[in-house]
Formats: sequence, structure tokens, C-alpha cells
Amino acid sequence: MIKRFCLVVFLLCTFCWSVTLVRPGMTIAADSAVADEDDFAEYDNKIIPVNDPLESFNRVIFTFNDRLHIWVLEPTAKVYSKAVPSLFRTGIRNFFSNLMEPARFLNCLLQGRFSEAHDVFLRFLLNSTAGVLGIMDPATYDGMKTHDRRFASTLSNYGAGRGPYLVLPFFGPSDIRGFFGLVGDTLTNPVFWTLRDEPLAAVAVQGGKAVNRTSFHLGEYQRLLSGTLDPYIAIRNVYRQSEQ
Amino acid sequence: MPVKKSNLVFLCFLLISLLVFPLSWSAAAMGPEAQLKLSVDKLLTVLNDKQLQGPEKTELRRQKVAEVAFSQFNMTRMAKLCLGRGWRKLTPEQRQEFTRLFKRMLAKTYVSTIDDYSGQKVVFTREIINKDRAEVRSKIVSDDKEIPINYRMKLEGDRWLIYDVIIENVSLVRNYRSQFAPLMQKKGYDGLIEQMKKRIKEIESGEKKNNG
Repeated sequence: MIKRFCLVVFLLCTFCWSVTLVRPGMTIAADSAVADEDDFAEYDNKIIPVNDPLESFNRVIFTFNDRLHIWVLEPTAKVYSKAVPSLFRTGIRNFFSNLMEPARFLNCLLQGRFSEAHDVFLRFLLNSTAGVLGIMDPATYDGMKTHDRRFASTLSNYGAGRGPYLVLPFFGPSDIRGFFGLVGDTLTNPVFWTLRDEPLAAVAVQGGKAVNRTSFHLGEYQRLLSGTLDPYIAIRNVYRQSEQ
Repeated sequence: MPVKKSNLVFLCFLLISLLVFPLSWSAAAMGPEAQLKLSVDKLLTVLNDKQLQGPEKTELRRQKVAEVAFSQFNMTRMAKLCLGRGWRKLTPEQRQEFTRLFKRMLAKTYVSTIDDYSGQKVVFTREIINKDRAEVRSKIVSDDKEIPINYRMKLEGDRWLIYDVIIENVSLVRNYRSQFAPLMQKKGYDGLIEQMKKRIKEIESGEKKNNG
């Protein structure tokens, strides 16, 4: 009796299971208009409002940045990456990133992320000492996480909206909040304070940083743009998507 | 007697299995992640093929890569999603033409990236399946960086096919849609097609410049 009961239960289970398994294949046979609707719906609710009243101004700056990247930055970075070994370039990247840790610490505190602030503090301590002024990154090697909290995210934390899209000369895609974030980041950057009386040196350091950064992403910008029909819209969309 | 009874249960099980499994297994034999892994292996075989190495074999190598890669895509669905609702107004011929050009543009843009391959590893990190939809998450790992790439897939018949690629949180479909929609509005279907053809020509002439 029990065995028969088990058998019935088993049969029932198998039947249910088979029905759920077969189902995915069946939806394909469904009316194609309905399927269309489903497909579009998946993307409809993800359409991001454009909010770009300054488009014509932005397009001018975009073209400027674009030419600067393709004519100056990329060729320089290409030569530089051949002349300077990757290990050395990574060291430079680490050094500048480490200098921003105090600012990250401050932003973590302002955002009430105390455990992240703790992480950032320990990273800074370890990398500045054992990592020789931040050139090496033993903290990441030890599995300590980075928390790249910038001033823009602090502003967002206090309720500041994104504001219209804004293309900044040299810095690229941003928005009004991003602009004020950049001002905040600059004011908390020790490089800025060290070189505030020597604007030429400051520009040189910024340029060097940009070349160093680009050397890790050679050809990526051109590749990204080659498959686009409207580079300006494509980049704006990439910015909006990755900021979400 | 008890032996016979358990035999009966076994027999029933076998019978049901035979009835049910061919239907269900055909759909679930290979998960989306396993399927992608297989094609990554195939790509690596092409890249490591000694007969396909060297600059004079570039075209043939790219062709093979494109063949393997595009077999994992449902290009019609992808093209449709990229175009958005304007797709509905197109005739079947226009849809075919648009899909063909779109595929060509993607091939011209992305297949050549494989020439830069220098031992990066593809690591699959997660697979999320919801009925006939799936998202497979992966990372391309090289010495100095990691690039997260997620694939959105749909089960079609017995295969999972990609309809969107999300690179560093940026969806390809959403990006193309943001470009195609205003173009369609401003210049219509013919204007869009013209611009795509122009772009493909530009990429091709860029390639020639690089090779020559």
C-alpha cells in the first residue's frame, strides 16, 4: 500500500517536473507579436532619460576631447608604453591612486560607511609603508578591498541630483554633480596642494597621469567608437549606463 | 514477491524516463554557461591552430573566429532589440537587410580584437537561469586588468543564444538603441542604412591602412 502510494507520488512529481522543464521550449511557439512585446519590454523600462540641454555645447567639447585623445594622448601613450615597462607604469598608477586614499577615507566617513573607511585607512597605512610610498600595492595582494568613494558619490549621498549631462574639457563625460565632485576631489588631492604655486608642473603631472592611464587602455577608445553611428550619443549612453 | 514489486517500480521509472527525458533533456542537456565554455574552447583551438597563425592568415583566422562566435548569437533578436519598436514598421526584407548590416558592423568592429589576444583567460563566474532566459557572467582576466562581460541569453529550441552583451556594466543593446532610435526618427530607415554602410566602409578602409 505504502509502495503504491510512493509510486503515485513519484509519478506525480515526475509529471510536474517534466511539465516545468518542457515549458521553456514551448514559449518559442507562442505568438510572435506577444514575444516581441516581451522582448521590447525588457529594455523599455531601462531607457534612461537623456537630460542633455547643453548638447550643442557638449558636442563642441566632445570633438575637442576626441581630437586631443586621438592626435595627442594615444600616440604619446603608445610610444610611452613601448619605452616604459608595464611594472613601472603600474607603479606610477599605484602611487597616484594611493595619494587619493585620504580623500577616499574622508568621503567614506562623510557617507557614514565606517567599515569602508576602516579598510581604506588600513590600505593607506600598509601601502604607504610596506608598499614604498604606494608604488606597490601589497594591500590588494593581501585581499584588502578598495572603496573608490569620490566626492561626487558623497554629494549623491546627501541628495544632490545628477543634473544635466556635461562634457568637461580634458576630463570627458560628466554631469553637473560630477563637476562639483571633481572640484571636491581636486581640493582633497595632495598633488594639488603640493603644486598649487606651480601651475605648469601641475599641468605636466596631470598630463603624465593621463598618458600613464591611457597606456593601459591603448586602442580601446578607437575600438569603442569604430562600431558606433553617433559617437557622441554612444559615449553619453556608456556614461549614463555605467553611472547607474 | 517484494523483488518483483520493486522491479515493477523500476520498470515504471524507466518507462516514464523514456517518455519524459527526450523532451526535457533536449532543452536542458547543456546549460548556457557550459555552452559558452565550449565555444570559448573552440575559439582557443582556432587561435592556437598553427596552420592559422601569421599575418597572412589573418583574414582566414578572423573568418573562423566569427563563425564560432556568431553561432552563439541570435542576430535577428539582437538587431531587433537594438532598433527598438521601429522594427515593427519594417518589411521582412528590410529586417533582413538591417540584421545583415548590423552583424557586419559588429563583425568588423569586434572580430579584429581577437588579433590582440595574448593569453588572457576567460573565467565564468555565475549563471542565472530564469525559465527561458539566462545571464552568464564572465571575466576576461589579463595581467593588469579584469573586464567583466555578461551575456544575456534566451533558450531557442535546444540551444541558448545570446541577444545582449554587457561589457563593464554597459549593455550593447541599450547603447545601440540610444543611437539607432534618434537616427530612425531623423533620417528614416533609408538614412539609417546609408549611415551603417558608410561606417562599415570607414572601418574597412581603416583596416587597409593598418595592413598596408
